[in-house]
Amino acid sequence: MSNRLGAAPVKRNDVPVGLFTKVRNLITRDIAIDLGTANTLVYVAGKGIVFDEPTVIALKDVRGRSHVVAIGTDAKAMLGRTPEGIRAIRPLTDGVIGDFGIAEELIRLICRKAFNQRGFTSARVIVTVPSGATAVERRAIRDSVEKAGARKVFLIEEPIAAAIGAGLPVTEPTGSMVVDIGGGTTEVAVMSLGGIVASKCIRVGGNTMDEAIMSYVRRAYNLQIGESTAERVKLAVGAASMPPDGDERRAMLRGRDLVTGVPRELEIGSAEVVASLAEPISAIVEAVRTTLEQTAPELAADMVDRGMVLTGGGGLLPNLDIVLEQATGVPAVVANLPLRCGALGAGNALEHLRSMSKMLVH
Amino acid sequence: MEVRNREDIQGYEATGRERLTELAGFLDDVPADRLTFTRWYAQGKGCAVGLAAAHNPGFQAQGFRLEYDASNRNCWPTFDGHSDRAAVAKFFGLSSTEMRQLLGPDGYAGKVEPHPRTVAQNIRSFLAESISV
Repeated sequence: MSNRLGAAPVKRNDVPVGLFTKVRNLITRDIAIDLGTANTLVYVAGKGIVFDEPTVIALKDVRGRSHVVAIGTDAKAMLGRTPEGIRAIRPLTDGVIGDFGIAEELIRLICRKAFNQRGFTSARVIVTVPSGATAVERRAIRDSVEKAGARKVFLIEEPIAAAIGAGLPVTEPTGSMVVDIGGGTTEVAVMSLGGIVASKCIRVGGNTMDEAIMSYVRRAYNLQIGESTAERVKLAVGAASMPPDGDERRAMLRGRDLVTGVPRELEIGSAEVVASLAEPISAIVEAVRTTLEQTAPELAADMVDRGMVLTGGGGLLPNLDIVLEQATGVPAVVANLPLRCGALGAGNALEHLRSMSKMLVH
Repeated sequence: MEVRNREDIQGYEATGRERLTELAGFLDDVPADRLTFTRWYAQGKGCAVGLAAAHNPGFQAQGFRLEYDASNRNCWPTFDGHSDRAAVAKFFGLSSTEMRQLLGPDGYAGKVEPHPRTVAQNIRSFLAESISV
């Protein structure tokens, strides 16, 4: 299926590989990890994506030591619902590791789950990192993956991975623009000849949108809701702008009344959710605008012809492509499989490590 | 001792009317892009009372402040053991309906980002008409 721009969309879950690569994959198990604030995806060479679950870990404290109770989807279901002694946490904040020890344990367990309990010792690993991550933050990610058992760790910047995964011709002498809206960060980048020409990374993403909805409901209705409820509302009736026909959808939400302290249910309309999301959306628009301003005229002309591609979970927010198009004048299109572009791109780099080495962070 | 200001009187507690008058004066100086009814306060933007709780030392001295959650990203006003709208109602002596009309989009044709001076004007008009506060 082609997109609105007629550009080649992403159409694969597995990257075609040669015989040598297949044999090598039998001996070693190279993997690519798209370590996101919201979700982590693991791509195994020759197999494709084998793990796609939330980046959440649940820990139980026993006599001063933490024991893992659950990870991924099971742990996410515990967020905000844990009894005393159990913590369900997200070890990544704004795309970077906030708690080294826990992140390391999470990576180890994710890989064990991905490999059916066998772990990934002696594997070469490619991990995605935000382009705005500092040297210290990159080192933290590299160290955590090494300590989790990887033989060699390569880092790839998230917008490059997302662009490769979206099928953009990043190695060609033409401008490709990607807007990767993840859980913790939004990465905007213009690429050409395998490198980033202009980029902007802001610490605004899907989680910021959830927080905006939580704040709105708290202020407008005196109702405290949890992250999961806010995310559900965003997915149900959230949008970057109201549809032209003004058709309003409504969603039920439950929370705790801040006056009475008892549970309360109310209905919220999409117009209110759109209003509450205005702030993070305008931050994303501003980041795209800034990146375009930094782009050389020739490449900017390519943008007008080829448009920008939205990847990441935030790319699925209805009407975001329209808002970006109206604000910048550059056509915008949502990639196929936007949630998987980062992992697919990192996986592609893994399968063609030699030819793609210049795109990795050294 | 000569008493020049009401604050000089020990134990003096401002009335809701005085606090609303002060809020209107505060809003006169708030830049247009800072006011939004979508949240109490965050990253320099917020609703009228959220901005006042964050930036008005006079209100803070009277105990009207912002309280943050563990993430330090979300906050809400607190006063005298109350939080959120209950704190606003108690501090300014407003009813739920008055709060909605003065400090929410209901009083501004649904606009979530009216000009701060429009809100200030609305508060002054309310004070001029109302004798209950």
